[in-house]
Amino acid sequence: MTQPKADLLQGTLDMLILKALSLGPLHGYGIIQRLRQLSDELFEVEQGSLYPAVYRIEQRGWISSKWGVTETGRRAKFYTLTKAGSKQGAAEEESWDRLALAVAKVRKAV
Amino acid sequence: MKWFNIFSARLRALFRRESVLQDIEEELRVHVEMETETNIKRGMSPDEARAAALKSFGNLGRNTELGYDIRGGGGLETLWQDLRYGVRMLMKNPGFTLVAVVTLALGIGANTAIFSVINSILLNPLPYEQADRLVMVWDNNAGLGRQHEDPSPGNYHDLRDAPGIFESSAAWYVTARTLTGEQDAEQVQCALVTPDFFTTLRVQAASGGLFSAAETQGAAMTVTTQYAAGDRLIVISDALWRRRFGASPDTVGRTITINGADWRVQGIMPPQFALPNREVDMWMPWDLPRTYVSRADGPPRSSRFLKVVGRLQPGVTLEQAQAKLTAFSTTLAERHPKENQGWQSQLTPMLEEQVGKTRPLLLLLLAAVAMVLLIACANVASLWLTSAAGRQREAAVRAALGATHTRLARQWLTETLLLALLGGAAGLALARCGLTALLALAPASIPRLDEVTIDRRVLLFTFAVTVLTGLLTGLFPAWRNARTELATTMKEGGEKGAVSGSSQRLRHALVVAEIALALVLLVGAGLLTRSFARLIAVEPGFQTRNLLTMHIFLNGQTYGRGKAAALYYQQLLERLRALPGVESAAAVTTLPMSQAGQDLSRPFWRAGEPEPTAAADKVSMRMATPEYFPTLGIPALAGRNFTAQDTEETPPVVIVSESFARKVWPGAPALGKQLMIDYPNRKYAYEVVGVTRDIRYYGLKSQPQAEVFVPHAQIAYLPMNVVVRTTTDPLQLVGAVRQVARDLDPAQPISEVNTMERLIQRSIAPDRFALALLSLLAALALLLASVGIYGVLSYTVAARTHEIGVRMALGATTRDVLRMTLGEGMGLAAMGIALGLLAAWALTRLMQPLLFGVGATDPLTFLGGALLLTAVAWLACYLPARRATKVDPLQALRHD
Repeated sequence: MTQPKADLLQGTLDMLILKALSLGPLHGYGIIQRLRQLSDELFEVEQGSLYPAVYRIEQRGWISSKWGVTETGRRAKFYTLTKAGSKQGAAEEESWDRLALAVAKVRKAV
Repeated sequence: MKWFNIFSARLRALFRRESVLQDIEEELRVHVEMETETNIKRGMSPDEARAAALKSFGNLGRNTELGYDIRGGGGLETLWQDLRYGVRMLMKNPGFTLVAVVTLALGIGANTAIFSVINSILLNPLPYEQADRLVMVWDNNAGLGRQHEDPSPGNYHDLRDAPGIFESSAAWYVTARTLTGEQDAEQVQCALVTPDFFTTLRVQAASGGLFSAAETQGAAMTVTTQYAAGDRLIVISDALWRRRFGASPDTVGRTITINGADWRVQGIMPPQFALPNREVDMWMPWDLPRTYVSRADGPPRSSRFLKVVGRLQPGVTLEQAQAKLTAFSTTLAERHPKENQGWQSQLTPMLEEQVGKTRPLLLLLLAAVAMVLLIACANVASLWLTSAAGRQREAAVRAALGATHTRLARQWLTETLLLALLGGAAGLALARCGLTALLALAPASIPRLDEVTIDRRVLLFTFAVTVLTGLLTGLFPAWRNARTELATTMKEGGEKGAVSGSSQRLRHALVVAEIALALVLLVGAGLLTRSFARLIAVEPGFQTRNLLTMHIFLNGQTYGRGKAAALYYQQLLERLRALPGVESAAAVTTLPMSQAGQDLSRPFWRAGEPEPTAAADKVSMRMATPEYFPTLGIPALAGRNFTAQDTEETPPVVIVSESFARKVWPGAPALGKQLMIDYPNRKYAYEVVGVTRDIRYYGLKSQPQAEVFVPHAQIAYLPMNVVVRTTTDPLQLVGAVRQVARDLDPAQPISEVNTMERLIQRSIAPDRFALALLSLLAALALLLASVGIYGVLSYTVAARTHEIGVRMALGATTRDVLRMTLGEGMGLAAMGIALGLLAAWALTRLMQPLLFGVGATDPLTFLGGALLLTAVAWLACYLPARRATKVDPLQALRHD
């Protein structure tokens, strides 16, 4: 049950964030939690690398942000996937699948 | 799309810096708090929880920075900061900024002005549809040494239908016609054009319409008379419409009287339309074949006087068309050897035809202003170097605070670009004014002047030059400043570090370069000056003062038959001679020093020899009244002048010029010899009764030509130039002369009244213009270069005050100090002059086409330029040198 170092490529992290938000708006802390949940605790995003990634994605117009209130009544900034963002997410997942397939083929061959 | 989003996000962030930072900080803080809560839930104490949360999150401040790097203004923000800083620095040093901006404005402005001229004249296509397909046709005969001659009607008639060359073509001939009517009779330039003229050019009338082949069928006319069946349609110019018809809207469709006949105005051309030239006021349709219908063998082939324009067939290149035309010419020569043997036709693009002669001058001016700009850049770069030296400490501190080399360099370049942009904007304004002045003073011989304007391409050029200038002037100081070492700078106290080392060497190099460039320009201007001096010293061969000239074009209907023309001129000249203030008067077909006039070129051969079957040599033939030679002051070298006894009934006589006599009868006197001239209806032997001195007919630069004169009484040509020698200022008699002409025949006005001196001035106006412009640029270069030397030397003296003080304290005299400073300055000047002489020697040969009577490497001019520059440099060095001697050693030593 060791948590592997989140040695992810930048693009992969973007794709995961988009995926996390495709299930509903979240604030930054919530994204980390949801990703942990979805990956059955295998996955912990390094806290320091989250916000740069989120800001970059927001700058490109794939997510939008708004300050809101959590269930506990605390003020937080929530991110929502945009239309362009969901398209981008789908595109990145597709290319990830292609990459995985290619890697799998090479591994099988050896 | 992605990039656009990023850009606009950063741009927005630029204006909301504080709130972006706050937003990030708050978001990160919330995150840490949430993690703290989770940790507390896991069982940690509040303090432990918070500490753990902060640890796992990493450095809060660092993360804020990272976040801001992405969300903040980024490159835009640094640019904005640099701009604000640059503006502040420039405002803090108003003297520096002013001098630099003015210097750059002069350099950039001059370039913009000259480039817009080149752009409009050389680069822009002619204002016709698909103007690059238009060509003009010329005839050459290498064997006879004839080039660029007009085609003949007979040849044109054949080649216009030659396959594979022209989509359409037209020919024209400029003549004059007299307008009569409500106002005074006025003689205007009229172009006889074949019907396809307007369709070949693909131009439209501004109002009304143009004529087509169908409409003008039967509009046949000879060159000097006219008779037409059917509607006579005429197209007039915008200038004529305004001048004579008061720009009245009902002019189209109106009937006007031309040479006594009624013509209906079909249309008015737009003001910019200037083919064949700007002076042409009417375009008259000309059914060329019909004109020669009575001739047995069709239109003549040996009378070469047409101007032919053609539009190439689509898809045919110039080379292909030329090849076909050459082949066709050869066929023509075989078919008609007597007129065409040895003659070849040649195609020239119309643009080249119109602007080709101006190209050398314009390119020279472009090179000159480029050099001026380089000098200006050198001065400003030097200024920047000084400024950079003063700001070394600031740069060192910034570097110590974390600024990277690129950041420092970028900030510096932003400042220099800002200054350059200011200079460029000022330069553009300067160019606008300069252009207005330039166009007002430019001689009329420069084509397409009315098309010169500052268009988009010119603005782009100015912008590019400005950016280049900014980079060029800022490069070295930026590089230097960026490499500042903090420790050494702080130790040396900043200022002095600039005196020795690479920065000073750079300054010296810049000054040497400036001086070299200035010398090149000085030599160029000097060459043009000597050239012009030689030009105005040329002997034209006749007396040019107090000569009134004018043009009269007799109406063929009235004077075309019998002795009417000869009689008219005889009477006119008699009456003119009776006027007070008139010494003599005469008439001649072609006037010296003017482009106008009929230059008749006829085949000739020695009498007694068989008529050449191949194309014969030709000579310029002129008709003149007997007083012509005395009025112009052309001395007779042998024989006699024409007299009143030489009439149509007496044997034909001719007076020849001395070079003609030498050419045709070498070694033997020409007097008494018989000459056969093939003139229409007058092909017979002419006896040589006189030989006159050669004169330069085609301008001061031209060689004396071989020519022959025939008495006007024997061949009465209708259009003539009248010359009147007056005792005082010729222009005072214009009114009286006009009255005489009006009294003799009110329907025969005189036109193109001038004095011979004015005609000569007009012929050398282009040379004078080139000289004036280049001299102006050379003076500017000299000024900038001397400012450069002065500046560098002043700086050296100021920075070396301490050293000078030491030297003086150790016993150096005023003279020693003077020598040291002057030596440094003059040493630079000497290097610059040496370099400049080499550069000038290499470059001025490109000026040769513009020079007259002076070689491009004329040593006198080079020496003169060097001496002048030395003197100016010495003056510029003197003031700083004197200042150096005034250094008080005690003060200097104290001021460490």
